[in-house]
Amino acid sequence: MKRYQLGEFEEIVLLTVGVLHGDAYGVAIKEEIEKRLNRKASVGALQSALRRMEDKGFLTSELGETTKTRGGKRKRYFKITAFGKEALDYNIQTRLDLLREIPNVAFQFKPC
Amino acid sequence: MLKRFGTRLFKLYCHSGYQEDILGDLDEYYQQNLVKKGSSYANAKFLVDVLLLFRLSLLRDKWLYQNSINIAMIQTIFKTSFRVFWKERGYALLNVLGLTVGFTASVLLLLYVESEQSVNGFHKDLDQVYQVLEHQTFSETTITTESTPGPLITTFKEDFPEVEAVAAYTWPYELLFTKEDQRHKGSGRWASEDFFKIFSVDFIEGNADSALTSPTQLYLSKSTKERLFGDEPALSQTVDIDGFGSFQVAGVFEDVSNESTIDFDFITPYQVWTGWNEWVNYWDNNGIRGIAKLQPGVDIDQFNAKIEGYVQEKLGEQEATASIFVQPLKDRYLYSNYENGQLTGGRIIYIRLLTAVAVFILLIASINFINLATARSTKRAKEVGVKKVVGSGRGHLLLQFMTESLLLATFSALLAGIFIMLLIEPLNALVGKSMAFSLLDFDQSVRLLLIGLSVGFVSGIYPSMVLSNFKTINVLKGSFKSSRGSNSLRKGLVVFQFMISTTLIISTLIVQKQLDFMENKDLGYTKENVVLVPLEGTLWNRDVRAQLKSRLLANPNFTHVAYSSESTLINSGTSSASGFSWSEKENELEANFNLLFAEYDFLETYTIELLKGRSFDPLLATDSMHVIINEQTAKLMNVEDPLDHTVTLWGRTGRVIGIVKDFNFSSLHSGIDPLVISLRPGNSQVLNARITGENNQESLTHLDKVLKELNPNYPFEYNFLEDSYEAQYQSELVIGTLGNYFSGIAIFISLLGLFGLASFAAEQRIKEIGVRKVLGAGVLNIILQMAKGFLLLVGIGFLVAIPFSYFFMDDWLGAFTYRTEVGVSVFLIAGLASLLITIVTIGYHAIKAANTNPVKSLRYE
Repeated sequence: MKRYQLGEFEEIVLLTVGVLHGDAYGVAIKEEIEKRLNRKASVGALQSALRRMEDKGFLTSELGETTKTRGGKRKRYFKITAFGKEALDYNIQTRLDLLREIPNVAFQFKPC
Repeated sequence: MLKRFGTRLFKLYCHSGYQEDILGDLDEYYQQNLVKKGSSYANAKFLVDVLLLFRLSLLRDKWLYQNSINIAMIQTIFKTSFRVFWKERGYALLNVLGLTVGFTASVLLLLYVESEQSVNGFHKDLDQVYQVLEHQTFSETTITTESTPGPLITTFKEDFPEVEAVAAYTWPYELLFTKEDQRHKGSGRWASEDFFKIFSVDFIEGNADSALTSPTQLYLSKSTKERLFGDEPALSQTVDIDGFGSFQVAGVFEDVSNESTIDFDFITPYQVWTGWNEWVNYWDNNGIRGIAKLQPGVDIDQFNAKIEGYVQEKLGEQEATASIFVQPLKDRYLYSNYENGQLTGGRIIYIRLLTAVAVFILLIASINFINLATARSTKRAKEVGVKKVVGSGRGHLLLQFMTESLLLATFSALLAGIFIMLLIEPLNALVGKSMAFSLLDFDQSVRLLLIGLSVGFVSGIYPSMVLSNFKTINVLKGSFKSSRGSNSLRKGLVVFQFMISTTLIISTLIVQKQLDFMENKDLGYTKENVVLVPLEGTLWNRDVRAQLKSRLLANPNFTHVAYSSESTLINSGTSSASGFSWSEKENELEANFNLLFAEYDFLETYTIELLKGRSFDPLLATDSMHVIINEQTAKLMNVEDPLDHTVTLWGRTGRVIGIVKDFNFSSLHSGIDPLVISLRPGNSQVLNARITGENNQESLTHLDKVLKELNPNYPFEYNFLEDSYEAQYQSELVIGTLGNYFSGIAIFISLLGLFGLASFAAEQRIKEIGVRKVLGAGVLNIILQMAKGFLLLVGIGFLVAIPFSYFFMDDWLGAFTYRTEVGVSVFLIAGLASLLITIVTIGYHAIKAANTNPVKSLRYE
């Protein structure tokens, strides 16, 4: 299903946004991903994934309050939309379905 | 540093909605890095992140969508443009009129300039073709001529390896061709073997191979051949040349256009001519013209330095007055004036002048556009405001206004193209050219369109900026006035327009004044009512000439008849430095004496005043030894009483029997040179006949009849001295005529602009005028109020134009030895004229405004 299409990195970002519920802005998401998955994420990749998913309707965002840190610049907080949730479910479900379909024999790793 | 740069870079490309939060994130990373890894790492990382953020999904939306063609928007722009034109059709019309006239005038001028520049441009290997010229230095002056020593042609190529080919040719000869019963006279030259290898002609019959090697070869231009042979082929046919026997047509070539400084209808072999001109074999004589083709890449300055002393070298002991040099043939037409051995220009000054006029006319037309557009801007302010409110960007508005100006300019250019096509022929007739213009010609129409578009762009850009810059709030509040800045700019531009157009008018008036001056100058002889007939055929015979003279004088319309080598217009006549001498003549005196060979009654025919002595007397046979001199020669002789002094001219020793008052025998550009008149009927070339001027037609019929009887083989040909006199000043006359037309056009376009501005002012001040009228102002008072501002601008323009045109035209007049003074009257006339036409132009609107009923204009207040 084309409309639920999610890339691997996008999926991770989407999940992370969900995990960080209410506190999901750029820096936090990046740190969370780096901490949990133990891998580097570039700002560019992260931001473009966020905006792309916003365009697709998986995410919404709103600007937070002005704070004194960050040079007075506001944070943008992301939230998963219902449609985003659907997409996530669909993706995970399809993967699970696929996993379940694998015949048991395929996992019997005996030396031949 | 890097951070600031990075921020700027980021803002440049990033979508504006994303900028704040992403920059905030970046800031946070920066702070973290600053604490953890130090400033240099943090800075570098910041920049790297910025660069990595350059992603498709983060770009400004415009970057992606701006360039895609939005048909609906373009349609709207065009629709709005046409609606605006229709709504303000008066202004659109004024603009179109101004631009069309401007384009037409300047393109016509540029076509003329181009055609002048292309003279001599038709030669193959043009860069290698040179005219051989000669400076002749005398103690007081150096004159520069095309006349060169005859032997040059035979030795030049051998002595200088740079020379690929060289050819000699003579001054134009008028010869009569006979083929059975067809007779035709043509003007052509005797030219040596390599002539056609240097001078490019297109052969229709025959070719340049072994051309001019045999003494009976004849080469005819297409039109001359057609007169003799019709459409029949002429190759190898026999043609008789009166006085020279039979010739075989060896080639027919396409007519040499008037785009060549060397012109001819036919070419005949040089070796025939040298047969009866033995003098050309000496190095101290001049008279032959030469063109040379040099090897490619020869440095012309070096070559000229090398050949400078060539004539002296050949003359050996004898001191040479001549020193030769070469000039590229392509420059020959535009750069032909030499003063004291230095190139001082020539027609190029007129070319530059006309180019400047063309550019100025375009400028005046675009100023009109700018002024009208900025003046009307208040009218469109509301439109701008509303458009901005509903979300139109500045770029969109700019596009709208630029489209309007480009549309107007393009339309005017196309219209101008049609006018140019209609006017090119009359212009050709006026200036004697064969220029062509057609809108169907791709190159020409593209160039016209380019001129149109660039003028549209230049004149549209400022008003568009002003209009699209309006502040929405100010505009919509309703109390909007055009800015003071654009007002004073408008005034400045009007002053500039009128400065240029009055400069043009003043200059034209001065040119006219000088032309009148030359026309009416007392030349020292009477130039009116003199008919000139070339001596040809049987008229070489002295008995026939005597018969002709007595038969002409028998007619009461003829008062005097004289034969001479030249008329009083001696431009390229005979002259000699050493041929004229007297016992006290010092060896150092190097002066060039012009020689005129005149028979009896010459002085009387031209009413040249004798100061001392007498004229030639038919009863005194010894008069052929004597000479008459002018005042200049008398001064140069530097003896107590030149009259009756013994002198020798070309081997004949006699006395000075008369001294005539100096008369202008050469162009008024130069002064009067020494002249010696001698009685040698063998040298006569022309019949000078003075007629009463009352029955010109009858006189000419009589002349025709007598000539037909005495010289039946030759067609009757004559011209009036007055016409030849005017022909001397051809380029001045052309520039005078062009000046008249184009300064008229310039002032016309300026007035169009003024007319538009006046109507605008009348509209703007309608309430003010209403109030004035209510308070008791009279019509006259209001007209003056209206006119004051414009008259001031025109007046300032005029004042600025005075010094400008004075210095410029004084310089131009400096090229004439005999010149008129600039004088106050010219400025007065120009000033009054511009004042008057300004009043007339703005008068219409002023009167209309002054007569409006104040009730109408104040009703809604």
